[in-house]
Amino acid sequence: MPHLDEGTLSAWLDGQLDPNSDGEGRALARHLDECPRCRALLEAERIARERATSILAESDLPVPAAPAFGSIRQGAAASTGGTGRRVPRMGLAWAASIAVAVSAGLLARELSERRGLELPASVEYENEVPQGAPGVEEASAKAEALESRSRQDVAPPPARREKSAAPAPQADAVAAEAPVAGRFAAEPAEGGASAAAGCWRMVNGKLAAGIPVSFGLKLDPAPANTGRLGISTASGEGEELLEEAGWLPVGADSVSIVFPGFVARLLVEGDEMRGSGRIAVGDDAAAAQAETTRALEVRLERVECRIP
Amino acid sequence: MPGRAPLGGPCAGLDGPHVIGIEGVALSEPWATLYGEVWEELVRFLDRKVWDMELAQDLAQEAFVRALRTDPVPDSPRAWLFTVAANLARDEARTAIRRREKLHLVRSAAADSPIDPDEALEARQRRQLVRQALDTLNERERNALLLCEAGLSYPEIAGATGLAAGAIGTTLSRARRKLAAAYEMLREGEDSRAAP
Repeated sequence: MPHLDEGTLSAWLDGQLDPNSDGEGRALARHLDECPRCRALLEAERIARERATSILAESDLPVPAAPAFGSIRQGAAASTGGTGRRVPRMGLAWAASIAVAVSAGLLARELSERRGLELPASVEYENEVPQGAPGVEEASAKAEALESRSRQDVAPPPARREKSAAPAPQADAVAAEAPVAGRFAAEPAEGGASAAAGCWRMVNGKLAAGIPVSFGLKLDPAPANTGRLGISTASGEGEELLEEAGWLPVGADSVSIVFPGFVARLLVEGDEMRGSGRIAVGDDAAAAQAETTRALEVRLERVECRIP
Repeated sequence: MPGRAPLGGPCAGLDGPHVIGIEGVALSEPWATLYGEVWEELVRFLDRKVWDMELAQDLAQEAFVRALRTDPVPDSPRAWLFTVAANLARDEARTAIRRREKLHLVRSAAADSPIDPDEALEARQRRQLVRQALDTLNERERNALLLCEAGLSYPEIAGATGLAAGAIGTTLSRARRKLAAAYEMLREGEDSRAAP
C-alpha cells in the first residue's frame, strides 16, 4: 500500500473509514501498524485536528435549550412561501407560540398559617394558547372538565384542605408579569378562621417541554418559615389534577424539590421565591421519572401573587 | 488502530441515539427526531457563521420551519438542514446591521443576569480572534470545517458543500492547519500589542 495522504488520514481520524467493515479501512489499519512515516503523519494530522476543534471551542457561547418542536410546527403552519415569518424566539416570546406538551399544576398554598397570608382565590387569567397545536383539543377538554369541577366543588385539593380558610381576595391581587400559555386559576379556600391558603393551579395548562423556565411567587409580606410551597404535576386523566408531592418549607435560602415528574430548585430572596424546574410528563411516576431523565424542561414564566 | 477517533466523533453519521421527542412522546417524523439531535450543533454552527447567538437561534428555528414545509423529506435531512441554515446565515449577513440593531433592543430587555465586564470583554476578544482566523479560510474550507465540527459525515458535508466526497478529507486537513496557523499568528499579534 502506498503512503497515506492527508485527506485519507483526516478521514481516518474523523471516523469515516471503518477498520472492521470496509476493505479500505482494514488495509489502512494494517498499513498504519507497519509504517512509521504514516504514523508520524497521522500524529501531525491528529494534533492539527484537535487544535482546530479547541480553537473553535474558544468562541463557543452556551446554547440555550431548544424550544418545543411544536412551536416550530406552528411556525411552519403559519408561514407561507419561501420567506415565511420567523418563529419568535421562545425565550422572549414563547407564549405566543407555545405547544401543548404537558399539563402541569402550580400549586402554592398554606403559605403562612401564622401571619395571615393569603393567596388569591377565584382569580384566573388566561393568555394566548395557539389553536391547532398538538394536543390542544384534548387538553382543552380536560381543562373544561376540571374547570367545571372546580366551580361546582369549591373544596380545595385533598391534602391540607382543612387548614385552608381564607375569604377569596380580589382578582387584581394577581399580577402576571409574563404570559404563560395556559390558565391559572386560584382555587378558593374553604371557609374558616385559618389565615392561610388558596391554591393556584393550572386548569388548562399547556406547558411546552424543552424550554427551560423560571417561575416565581412574590409574597408580600414575606412569609416566615411557616409556609409551604408545592409544585405539582398534573396526572392521568384529569380526575386527579394535582398530586401532592414535594412540599417544602418556605423561608430557606434555597430549597430543592425533587419528585417523580418534577425537579425544581427555588431560591428565596427576601419576599420573593424564584425557581426553575423541569416537569416531566407521564401518567405514572415511573413514566414521569423516565421522562425526567430525558431532561424535558418546562418553563413557567414569572407569576406573581400579591397578597392583599 | 493508532490514533483513530471513534465512530461518531466530530464527523458522524445519522445513526445517533434515538432521542425522545421534545414534547414527551417518541416522535416518529424525521424532522422531529433530528431536531432533538442537532439543535445545539445547528445553533453553534450558525453562531460561527453570524457571530450572534440570538440570531443563530432564530435562524435555526427558521431552518426547521422550512424543513417542515419541505415535501418529500430529503434523502439526507441533516445535510439539507445545514445547507438551508448556511444559506440563511449568508442571507442574514446582508441585513446584519439592521437586524443587530433590532435585536439589541430585544436583548436589552431580556437581559436578566449581571455579566462581569472583564469576562465579557475577554470572551468577545476570544470570539473575535476565532472569527478572524476563520476568515482566513476560503468559503469551502470554512464550510467543510464547520459542518464537520457540527457532526456531519463526509458524504453529508459533500452534499451540503458541493465538494466531491473524496476531497473532503483533504479540504478539512488544509482548513485545520490554516485555522491553527492563522489563530496563532493573530494571537501573537494581540499579545505583542498588549505588551508594554
